[in-house]
Amino acid sequence: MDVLDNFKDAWKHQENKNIQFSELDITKMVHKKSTSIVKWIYYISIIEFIVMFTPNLFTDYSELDELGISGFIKSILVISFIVAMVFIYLFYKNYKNICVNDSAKKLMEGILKTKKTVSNYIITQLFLVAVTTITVIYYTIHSYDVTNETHIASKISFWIVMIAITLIILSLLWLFYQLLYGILLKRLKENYKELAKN
Amino acid sequence: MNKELENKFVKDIQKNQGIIHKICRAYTHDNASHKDLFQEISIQLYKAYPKFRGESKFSTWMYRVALNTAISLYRKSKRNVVTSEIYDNLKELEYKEYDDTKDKQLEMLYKAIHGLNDIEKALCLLYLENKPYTEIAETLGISEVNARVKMNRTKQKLKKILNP
Repeated sequence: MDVLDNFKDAWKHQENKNIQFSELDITKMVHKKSTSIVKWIYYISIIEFIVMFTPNLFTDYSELDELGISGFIKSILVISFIVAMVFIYLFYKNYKNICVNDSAKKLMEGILKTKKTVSNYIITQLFLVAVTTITVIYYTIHSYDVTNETHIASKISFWIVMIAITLIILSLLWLFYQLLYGILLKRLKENYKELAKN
Repeated sequence: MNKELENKFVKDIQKNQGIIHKICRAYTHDNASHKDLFQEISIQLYKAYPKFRGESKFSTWMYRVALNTAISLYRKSKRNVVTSEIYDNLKELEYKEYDDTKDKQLEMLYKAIHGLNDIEKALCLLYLENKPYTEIAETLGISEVNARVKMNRTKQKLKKILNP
């Protein structure tokens, strides 16, 4: 007989004297809000969507007509809108597919897949933002008077600073989400690894 | 969920709450987080209840959902008790006058379980419930062989914790 078998009898007949819930307690409990990881990931992904997408709605792109790239910007907007819609559908699908009745390993796979979808969404959005920014900068520099060199030089340095700031903001945003999900999923990843190894 | 089904659910949970308490006691270290986890498990059971078809026993299904919640969905906010604390507590237990009541045994067992990781805890709980390895493997989503290997390691670990 091994170590655990000695405890089986005590285990079987244990009662929890400290906490016992009545039917009313349980009814109240199940109507409260769930705090599960999946729910948080889902909420965060929707917040991300709003944060990434709403600025576009309030940006005035008419100035870009002078640069002759308003067509490009409009198509980028359409593309990012389609991308966002596809991802919202994927978020929803992942969220609905996560089933607490599954085996523990399958459930964890589902949650980690959701996280991956969110990361892909962020990467796609960051990529689109980067492409747009670089294009706008490129056309702006080109549209200035090329005969005035000092003027160009100061404009170039101005845009270099702008690019740097954009990159810093983008990387901070990326880092923030990585940290956020890192904290949320740290324990889950450990448990998943534990299940996956032999 | 309609009122009738909800009443049935609440009755079922109330009757079988011992299962959830066992899991909460194994996965948390204080009453507040015990209650938190109990609530999260109840919510998950409530959400999954309409889909429960009675293919398995209610208690088996409860175990699965509750363990899934404890190891995958519940965000542990409290720090883990460091292992040295467990040893200190165990020593304290040994020095006290030996009392072979089931309560003391259980207290010791839970303290030892707290020294295991989340998956080992799940294995240990299912084993204590006398679940066959096929069911343990299925609940966790691993092969039966893997479940046996992991269970043996868990037993070794428990042995070390109980007899340092």
